[in-house]
Amino acid sequence: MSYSREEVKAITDKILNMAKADAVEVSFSGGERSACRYANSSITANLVEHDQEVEITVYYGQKTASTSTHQFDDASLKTAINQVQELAKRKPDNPELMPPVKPPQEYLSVESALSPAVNFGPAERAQLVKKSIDICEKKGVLGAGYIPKMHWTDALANSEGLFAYHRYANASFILTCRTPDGTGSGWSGTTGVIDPTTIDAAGLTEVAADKAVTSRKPRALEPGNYTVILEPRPAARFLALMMGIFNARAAEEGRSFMSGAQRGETKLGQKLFGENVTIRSEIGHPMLRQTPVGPDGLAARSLPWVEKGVVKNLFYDRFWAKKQGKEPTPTAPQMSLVMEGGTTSVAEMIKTTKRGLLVTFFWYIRVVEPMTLLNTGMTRDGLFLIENGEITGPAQNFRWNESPAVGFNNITALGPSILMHTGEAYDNPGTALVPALRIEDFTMTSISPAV
Amino acid sequence: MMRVLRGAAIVIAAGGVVDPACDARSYERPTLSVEIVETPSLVLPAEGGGTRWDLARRARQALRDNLGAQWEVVDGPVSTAAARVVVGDAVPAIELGPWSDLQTGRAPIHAVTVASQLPTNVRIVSASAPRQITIWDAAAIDASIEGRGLKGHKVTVRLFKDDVALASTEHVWQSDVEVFDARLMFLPPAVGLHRLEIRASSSLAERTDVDNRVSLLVGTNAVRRRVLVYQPRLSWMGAFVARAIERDPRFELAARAQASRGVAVSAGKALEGFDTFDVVVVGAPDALTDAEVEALNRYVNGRGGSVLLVADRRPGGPYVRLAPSASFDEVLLQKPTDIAPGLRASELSVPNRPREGWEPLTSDRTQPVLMSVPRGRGRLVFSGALDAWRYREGSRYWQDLVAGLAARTPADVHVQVEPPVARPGELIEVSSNAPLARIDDQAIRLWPGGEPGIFRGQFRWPAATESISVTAEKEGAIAQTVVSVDPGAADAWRDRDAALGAFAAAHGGRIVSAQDIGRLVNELRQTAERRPTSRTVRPMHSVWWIAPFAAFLAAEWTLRRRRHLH
Repeated sequence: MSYSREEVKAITDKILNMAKADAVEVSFSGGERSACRYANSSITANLVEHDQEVEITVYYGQKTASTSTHQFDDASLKTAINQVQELAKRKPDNPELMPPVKPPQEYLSVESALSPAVNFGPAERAQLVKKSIDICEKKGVLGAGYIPKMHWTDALANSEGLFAYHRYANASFILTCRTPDGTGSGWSGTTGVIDPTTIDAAGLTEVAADKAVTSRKPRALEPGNYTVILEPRPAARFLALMMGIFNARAAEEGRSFMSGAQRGETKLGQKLFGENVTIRSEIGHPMLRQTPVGPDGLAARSLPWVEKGVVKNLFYDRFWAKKQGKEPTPTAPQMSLVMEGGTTSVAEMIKTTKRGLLVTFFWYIRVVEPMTLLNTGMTRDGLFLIENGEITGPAQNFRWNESPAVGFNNITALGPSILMHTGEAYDNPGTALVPALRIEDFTMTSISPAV
Repeated sequence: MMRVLRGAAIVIAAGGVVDPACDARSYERPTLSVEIVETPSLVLPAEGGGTRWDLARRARQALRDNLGAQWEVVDGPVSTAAARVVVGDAVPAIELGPWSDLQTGRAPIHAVTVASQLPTNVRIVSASAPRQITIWDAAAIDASIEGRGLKGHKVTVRLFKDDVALASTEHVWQSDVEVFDARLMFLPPAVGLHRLEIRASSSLAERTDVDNRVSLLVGTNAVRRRVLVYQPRLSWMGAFVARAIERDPRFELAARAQASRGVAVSAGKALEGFDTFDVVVVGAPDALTDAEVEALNRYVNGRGGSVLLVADRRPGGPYVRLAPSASFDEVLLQKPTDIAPGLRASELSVPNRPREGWEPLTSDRTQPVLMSVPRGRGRLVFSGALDAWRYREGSRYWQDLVAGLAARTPADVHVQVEPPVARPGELIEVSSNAPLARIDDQAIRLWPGGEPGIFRGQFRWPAATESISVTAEKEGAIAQTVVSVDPGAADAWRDRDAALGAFAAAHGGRIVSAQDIGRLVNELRQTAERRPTSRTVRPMHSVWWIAPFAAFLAAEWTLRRRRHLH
């Protein structure tokens, strides 16, 4: 089920006309969310969900309230509007409330719903499952995979006349293979793919299955500082840990790694990371094809966050920008995120590593200290020891304690950037272009019993 | 004859004109002031019958009767007294009573005690409480309870505030004469001054319970201890201790970490040196530079601060000279071991030849993973529990350890008041090492006192105020104390007999019992010195000279008339 621009506009216009508040904002989201799960070499769940929702926000001076409804008939909408209007009048003033964004906003045209993804249905997903299971059986491992698909429409309209619309479709393929005795495990996957026909289920399964088989009987190593090669998935998780630091308000209020020496100062313009670190939001990137609609409906624009290690921009939301006399940033740091990669493949990184670890997966990551970005997490699903340019065997998993502020200063090699989700789960937007990374002096603090 | 009479009159007249002066010498008795110190315990029975009050009056009368020839005995304190005698069973409240106006330092003060031991009695010998604590602390209230003739019976000691029992403890007397040291904990419910009462009650009925209760004052403030977590490299141990401290309202936490090459992040109070902190926690001490180690050393020795070194790797680098040993054994355990109450670890760095003075803080003294040493005015603590962060229940241990270290650190700023218990209208002296103090909300200027760096000032006790808070602030550090007007309470009670003896000795006197007052009488007789007094006399100032002058002139005139002389 998809929603055309006209269909969505008709719904939002109807709500805007019904509401009597000083100002009204309507956020629409709807479409198809489906997925196929398989485990132990058989499909365990095939889900297709069609949903639609509007979130209605009304403004009375500095008072505001929101409600949402899945029912679009006139009576339901009227009831929701009346309720939220009454609620808003009773709310206390919000001194930080900003009025709805005014048009015109010139959104980049991004075609994000290509037919291969739109038409990626249960049959196509089953074919991927079949290919994957065949490999698992051949390799003698148990595969457990997840193939989610989103065909979704987001829109934002307000009583000032703004109307923003974005429709997208993509799919992912994520797989964990385990040996039947449960002692070996491997992970592989790709996320946010706009043309699912390019998903190489067999190739990804081969990788996961091989890792599972070869990760059996791991060797316990001494905790300490290691050279690590982070494959794109752990690299994406590691990158995500520091994307919050670009918030200008937290930095200027002295609550962030980006805070300067004095209150009100920031580290903007300082070289905080290695020369080889460049991170930017690239709206309309042909591989990502993510929304061109920025925070509050502003027209998002590409901008660099870090360029050759130097911090180039901080994110100012509309309230803080007004308070500080600056222009609001139209792009949130996590939007269409691209970390510039290099040309060194993972295989080449291994060859040039004297002693280190190849990391397949990070999990259970938690913040230890927000000011220093110190985080802790564990490795899983395939950790391998590299000695003298070769993988010499599986290593027992580690708990690590590291800050991306340190890690992104110690990068000695980058692979080509590929699509990889930066979040803990894979369903929602969050895919970025992230390279594999080789990081020196990565702190492994203790042995983890994980497989 | 007429010449004689005329000459005599002329001599008187000439004497009046010249007005000659001469010295007259005499002797007078010295003054002995006798005061009965009125306390509630004077109603207790005394040896020989009657109450202590009766005995005190008899003693005073004995002094009057026996010393009247040598001394001029007066009741109550007199500023010109050559000697003083206090009669009673407790030290007079010099700060509060009429004694405060006297120069008590010159004349000896003797004491006549009317106290006696009751055959069956529980009494509070002494009690003490901290004068000032923070709202987050528990105050230890100590009391020594004496039991006589109560073997096998039980005494219950309770701590009351506003007649609500807050804590209690019990003890069974093991002998006929025994002193039981009780400790009761007081958790202050609010900032301010708290009047607490300790009451001891016996399971066997006593003749009196007037000596079974004392009142104490405990001031409570909300001044927080300042702790710096300093990390020259990011470390999980440092971060873990910081998180434990951060959660504890007793501390004001500041942090500085070298987050990456050339990138430092700070939180809390700006770091301008270590001296403004009570405790410095160092995470990743192996990454300290020589200069940082030297600065920490100066902080410990000079400022008297405490440094807690929490290692997460085998000790190495310049900081080893602050560590308990030059070399360490690495111990890896399959299962975590208890390092101290509430603290566990499985990766240990154990000093293999501890340097002199280092003492283990660990439960197992054979594996001294945690060690401490006094250094200069301060203290160093080393933790070799490398992976204690893995066992999260250790937070409480770190909080208590840091609180203990902070309490040892001399305050960066201090303020004192004298007297701590005042009377309405009295002048209170404030001394501090800060030049400005606040009396409740009003600022007063302090001026340089006798000692370098000490400032003093005075204020008069405001009317209709029960207690006031005196605060001094210096470079962000705050000190606070409380003055109270509460004659019934003190911050400490001492053994009354011992205190009375010490009081007399401190004033050049001696203590005797009322039954033995003869000894004091004899001594006072011997020491009584009739004071020679001399005064200047001008004999011609008397108006009576007019009489002989007139008589001489009249006689001379009469004779002249009889002889028909003109």
